[in-house]
Order: sequence, then structure tokens, then C-alpha cells
Amino acid sequence: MDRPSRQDALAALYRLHYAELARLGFALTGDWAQAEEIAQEAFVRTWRSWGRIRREQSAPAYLRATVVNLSRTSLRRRLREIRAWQGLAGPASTNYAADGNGEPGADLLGALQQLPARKRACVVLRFCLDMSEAETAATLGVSVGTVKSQTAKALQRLRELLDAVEMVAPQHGGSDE
Amino acid sequence: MNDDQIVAGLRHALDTEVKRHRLEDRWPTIERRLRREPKRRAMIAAIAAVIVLVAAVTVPHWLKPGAHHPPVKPTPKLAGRLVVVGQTRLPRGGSLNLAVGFHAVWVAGVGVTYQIDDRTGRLVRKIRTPGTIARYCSSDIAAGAGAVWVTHGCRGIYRIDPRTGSVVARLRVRDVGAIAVAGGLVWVTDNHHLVRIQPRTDRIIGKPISVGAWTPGVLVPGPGALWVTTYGASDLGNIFRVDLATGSVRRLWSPTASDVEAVGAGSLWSSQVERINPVDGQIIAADYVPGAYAVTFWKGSAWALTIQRTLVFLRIDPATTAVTGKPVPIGKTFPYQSSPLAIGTGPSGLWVLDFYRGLLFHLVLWAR
Repeated sequence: MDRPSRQDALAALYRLHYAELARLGFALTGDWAQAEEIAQEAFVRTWRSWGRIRREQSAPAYLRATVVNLSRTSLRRRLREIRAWQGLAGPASTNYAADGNGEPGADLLGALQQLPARKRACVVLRFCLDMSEAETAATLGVSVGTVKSQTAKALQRLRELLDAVEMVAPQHGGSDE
Repeated sequence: MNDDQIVAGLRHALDTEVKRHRLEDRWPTIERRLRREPKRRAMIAAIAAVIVLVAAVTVPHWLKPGAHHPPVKPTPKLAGRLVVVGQTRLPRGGSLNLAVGFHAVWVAGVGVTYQIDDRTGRLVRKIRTPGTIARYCSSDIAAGAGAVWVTHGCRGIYRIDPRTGSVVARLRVRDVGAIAVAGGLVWVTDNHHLVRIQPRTDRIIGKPISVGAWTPGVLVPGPGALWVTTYGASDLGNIFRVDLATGSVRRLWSPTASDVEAVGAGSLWSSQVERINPVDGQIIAADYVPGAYAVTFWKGSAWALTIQRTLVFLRIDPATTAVTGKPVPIGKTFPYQSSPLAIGTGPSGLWVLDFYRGLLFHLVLWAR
């Protein structure tokens, strides 16, 4: 059986994984436009690195790892831009709770965006993409132990953030009445 | 809220966002980018080729020793170790500068010039030279072009016959200071200028040469050039190269070099033991030498005279400017750090004059 051309194989991968990768990018960056750009860039980079990907089965993992890395890079860049524009000394992040539409999901996604990049990646890969600890570790290039500890700390931090939002929300409600 | 609720909430929130956002088909965009990839690769390869080509042309030039700095031969092995073999007593506070030549050491003293035999270290003659080392006007001395030349009291120059020890001519130069013999001519500072004297006729030749904005302080002869340091504030950071043949002056901007005291190993040497490129005036190498007072170049090495609690000679490797070999102590000096000292070199050895103690030290390489 003939091996499909690089472009055909990539087209097949696109049909199967583009939506998943865009979703992953959105979960990591909180921005659809950026998420889609990152997903496209991941396909272009996979095309460039095709010779290094030994088995076609490992291409999805390569794509996911590329999306994670590009999200981290784009977040750093965005952080720099925000600091440059606003002259902020501290970290800045997308705040869904403040900018959101009042839905509970917006609070959750906002809290997710406030996590550090690696913790956020652990939570997203483990629970949003249903990857095992070993798969998450392989995608992030860290040990399984690191994935466990980072995930636990991330969930704890999310709890704290959501509790804080719940405490603030009734006050806002009261003042509106 | 427990972990399960958080995870479930996150999944739900993400699914809601995905449903709300309609993903467009981006494959055509990706395909367009993939079509541009070969062109991009070709461009990267072309840039890499240009970089490699430039590197191939320039790197060997930079790696080649001496391509951008004056060549330095490996530090020669000395025939022995430097030792003090004698000292001659002269009047304390009465002798300031020295010159070596005509088998003698010549020292400018107060109203007198001393001639010391360079083999025995014995004082041979006291030659009357009224006005030398007068108040407010220092004297300088040089040996060469068939005579010994001593400047006196800002008024002129004595020409001494080295064979007879007699003053054979008195040359009038209005505001005389430092003196040197180079390129068959006598070079002397006259107020803010340099003037050249033809030793055959004892006459000033050519026009006075303007060097910087202040009186030239130190004249150091080198191959084809006279190196001049002036101590005017507006000349700080400049070294002047005066062409011996044409008298043309070139100013080298050297903001960190303090002065030029010696020439050797294709370089200039400052009193702070900095090796300076004579082409662009930039410091090639410098190693901090505590208490460095003066430097001279002799027997293929730079020698730094340092003053701390004692006078010490240090041999400096020209290639690295690092101290090499053992320090050579000469003795105590007073007051510390401010003793006027002069160094002279010649075939007979290395000579150091201590103004305050009135001592002339003779150092030679002593074979083991």
C-alpha cells in the first residue's frame, strides 16, 4: 500500500483534529482568534517537521504539544504587550469573571486563565481533553509526578479563585437591587 | 465546590463556548501557507549561505594572529634573571632625568650634568650646565645623533660632546621642555609646539609642529614616529603620532589609555602597563599592576617599575600583559607612591634613578 503524501496525510489530520486543537488552544489562551491561529500554525509546523515524525500515529501528539507550546509563547507575548501598553508591573490576565456575561461557566474559564501556564495546561489536557496522566506528561515533556502535583495544585487554586468570586458576586447582586 | 464539580463545570463551560463559536474551515489558509513553504525554505537557505560565505571570508581574518592587532612574538627567554649589580650615589634631590648612550649614563642634575661609566657605575665627570633643573623649569636629557642634549631652565639646550664631556654648543629655544632624539633629528618641545633641530648644523629646521592644545609632556621615539602625550585637559584621551620623515601629526583617540611611555612588540605601552594598538590607539590588553609607576621596553619584554613599600621591577609578557617571572626588588623609596623616578635602558643594562634618595641603580641580566 502506498504511503499518502505529506499534504494528504496532513489534510486527514486536519479533518480529524482541527476542532480539538482549536478547542485546546481556546482553553489555554481564552481567545478564539488566537486559538485558531495557533492551531493553523501547529499544522504548518507539523508539515515542516514531517521528516522527524517517525510514525503517523504520533502526529496528533506532536500537534497537541505544538499547540501547548505556542499557547505558552503567545501568552507571554500578550502579557508583554499588555504590560507595555498599561505599564503594569504585575501579571495581567483575561478575567472572565469581570468581563463575562454573568454565566457560571465564564467564572470557571476566567479562573482557568488566571492559572500559571503549566498548571493550566495540566488541567486542560487531563480534564478537557481526557488525556491520561502519562499522555499529559508526554505532551508537556514533564514527569508523571509533575503532572500529578501540578494538577492538584491547579485544582486547589481554582477552588480558591471560585470561592473568592462567589463571595464577591452576592455583594454585586445586592447593590443592583 | 469540590474537584469533581470544578472539572464538570470546566467541561461544560468549554463545550458551551465551543458550541457558541462556529469554527470555520481553515484548510485553504493552511494550504496556501504550505504552498509558500518551498519559497520560504529557499530564502532561509540563501540567507544561511550568505552568512556562511561572509563568515568564511571574515573569520579566518579575525582568527589570524596579528590581523587586527600588532603581531607579538612569543615572550623571549631571558639569558638570566634581573639583578641589581650596583648603585651610584648622586646628590639627593638633585638629579631628575637620565639618558643612556656613548658607554655612559648621563644624568641631569642641578646646574650640572653627571656622566657615569655604564660598566663600572663610577661617576666619571661633572659637567657644568647652569640652569638645569631650575625652579619652575624642569630639565630633560637625551643621548643620540652624536651628542648628549640637555634642556636647561626653559631657555635652551646644551649640546655636550660625549668624548670630552664639554659643552660644545648652546642652542636658544624659547620655552624648552622635553627632548628626544629620533630619525637623526633632535626633537624638543617649545611651549605648545614641537621643534626639530638638525644636529649637523645645530639649527632649527622646518616649521614648529603643533601637537594638541597643550605643551607636549612626554616624547617617546619609535619606529618611524615620535609618540607624544600632552597633559592638557582638552587633550585628555588623545595620543599623538608625529611622523619622523614629514612631521605630520595624527591624533589617536584613546580615551582609556593614560599616556605613552614605551614602544615595543609592535605596540605602545602606557605607564599603567596597558598595551595600545599604534594604528587606532585602542587598548589591546591590560592587566592591573598595583603601584605601576613607569614602564620601559627592554630585551623583548615590557618592564614595569612599581612603587608600593618598596621599588619593584616586574617583567610583563607582551602578549598577555600579565606579570611573568619573579618580581625584582630594588629597595625602599621615600615618600611612598610619589618618588620621582626615571628609567633608562641600553646595552649595559637597565638603569633606575631615584630622585629623593639620589641613587642610580644598575640592573643586568645575571646568567645562572
